[in-house]
This record gives sequence, C-alpha cells and structure tokens, in this order.
Amino acid sequence: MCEFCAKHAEGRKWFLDPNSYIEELMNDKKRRKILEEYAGVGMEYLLRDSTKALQHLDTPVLGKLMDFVISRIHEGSHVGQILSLKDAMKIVDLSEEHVLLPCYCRKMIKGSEELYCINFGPIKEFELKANPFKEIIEVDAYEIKEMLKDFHKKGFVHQVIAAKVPLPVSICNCDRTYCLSMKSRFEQNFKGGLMKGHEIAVVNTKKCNGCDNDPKCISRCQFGAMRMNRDMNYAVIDPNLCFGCGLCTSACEKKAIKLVKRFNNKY
Amino acid sequence: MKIIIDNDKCNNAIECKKCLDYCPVGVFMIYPKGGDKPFDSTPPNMYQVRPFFLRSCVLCMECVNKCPKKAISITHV
Repeated sequence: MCEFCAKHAEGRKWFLDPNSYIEELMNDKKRRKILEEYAGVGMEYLLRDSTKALQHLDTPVLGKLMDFVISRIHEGSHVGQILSLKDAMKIVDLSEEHVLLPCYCRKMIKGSEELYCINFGPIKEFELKANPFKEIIEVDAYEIKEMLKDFHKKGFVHQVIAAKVPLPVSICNCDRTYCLSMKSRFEQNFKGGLMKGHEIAVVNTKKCNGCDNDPKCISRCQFGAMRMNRDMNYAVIDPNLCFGCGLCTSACEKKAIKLVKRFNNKY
Repeated sequence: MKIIIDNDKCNNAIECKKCLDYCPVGVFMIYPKGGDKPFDSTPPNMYQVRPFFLRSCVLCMECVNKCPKKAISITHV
C-alpha cells in the first residue's frame, strides 16, 4: 500500500477520498503558506532553487546527506503521483473550480507557455491574490474530461500534484522530455518528487500477438519499461520500471494489456 | 562532456530562447537569475539559460549551430 493512503485515507487511494477535498485542509496554515509561495511567478523560483539543489546529489558523500536533508524539507509538500486516465476522471468529478494554467515545466525547459496544467480547489483564489489582473481560464468538468482523453490519446502521462498530501490541487499532463519531476527522478536521482502509481500494467501473453513486429504500445511507454520478446512474439513489461500510467493499455488493439493493483511497496 | 554558455554574449535569454526551442531532450532550463521575490514579475533582462540536465544530452549539436550569438560551446573531455 502507498504510504499516503495508509496515512491519510485508511487504505483507499488518497486522492479519491472525499475527505481530501474538504475546506479544513485548504484553510490549514501550512498549506496556505505553501500555496502562496507557488502562486504568481513563485513556482519559477521554487523550481529554479530545487533543481539547483538537486544538482549536488551526484557528489559522493555530500550527496547522501543532501538527499536526506532535501527529503526532510520536501516531505510531501509538492509531490506528484502517476495516475491512470480512469482515476484522473474521478478526480475531476470530486474537485471543484477548475482552471487552466500554463505548465511551468514546459515554460522553463521548452520556453513556451502552453495550457497543459489543470488546476482546481484553492488554486484560483491564490492565483488571483498574487496577480489580480491575471486572466484565468475557467473550464467545466465536461471540457476537462474531453481534454484529458485528448492528452491521453497523444501519449501524455497524467500526474496528480498535492500541495502537502492529502490535498490534491492539480492534474499534470507530462512528457518525459519536459517534466521536471520526471527529470528529478530519472536524471537527478531524487525519489521524492515523483511517485509510482497504484497500478501495474500486465500483458496477457495469450492475447498479445506481437502486432507483426510493429507494436504501438512500446513507443508510448515513457519509462522504458516495455520491450518485445522476439522469440515468443509478445510484449513484456518490467514491473519494477512500470509506473502504472496506462498509456500502453489504451494503445493495444487486442486489449491484451491490463492494469492490475500494485502489490509491492516500491513506490 | 561539458556545455558552456557565455553569459556575456547571451544577454537577452527570455526573448531569444532558440536553444530551448531546438533541444530535443530538454537539457537547458531558463530561470530568473538572482533575487527571491515571488510576487513581482521578473524583468526580462534578469533571465538566464543553464544546461542543467547534462545527463540527457544526445550531442546533436543543434544548440551550438542555431545560437544566433554563438554563445554555446560543447567540449568533449
């Protein structure tokens, strides 16, 4: 079981528990401070400083100490967890006041402002507080669901972001090239920024026929967890690398890949 | 391997951003230089480009060739 679920939601998924969306959490002093820091252009400074700090994790002895200190400071304050499309839809149903904001990761790595970031809950209030003249794009639940489906089709990974667990504040639609939390996990070796999802993809080897050596599922995996067994002529998924985003399941024409519950505790 | 950016030559990072556009793996990051004022908008001349994610560099040399001010150089060590 994921540590957040055990701690906050009695074993259910923490972001699907209605108690994670109540106003008491939003009015919590610590959370308000975190959200105030994020709003406006604050996120730019936060990402700059965290990326700079994570650079030092590579140094031999100091790195381990840094990892410990950063994990302590971090402690689930701005944490992301991979979501399947189904769970993302459920979050949209549970949350209120959806707004669209430009993705900060793409702004800093790609240099362009693109509306990929779906925010909800207290975010609108804090964005307006930081910059009263800002134009904020409001969208309803139906539009967001259509957007999510579209993003999923294109091959983006969904991620739920919490402003101190268990208050979910946004759904990211990420690409490995530009996502800073993926970069921090894979390129800077910091585990706290991004957590694996609650599921694992499993191939039904009887149904999978290898698609005549031209499989669509493998190129969609952003985590490098899939490969082809060319002798047996079916795809295999490494459960230690799979993050449970479910992109491969929707690409399969034979419906041979299924998401099952993750049983090991390696998040 | 090292990517070196000459900050004297690259003095209008937020307007140009050519290296960020052409990099296929997202090595560079653009960020406000100094200061810690989250609620003020940062002036455009205060931005800087740095090659933060060197590990993912694929040596395609797009950034070196496309930089209009020739501020980027790559050294193989």
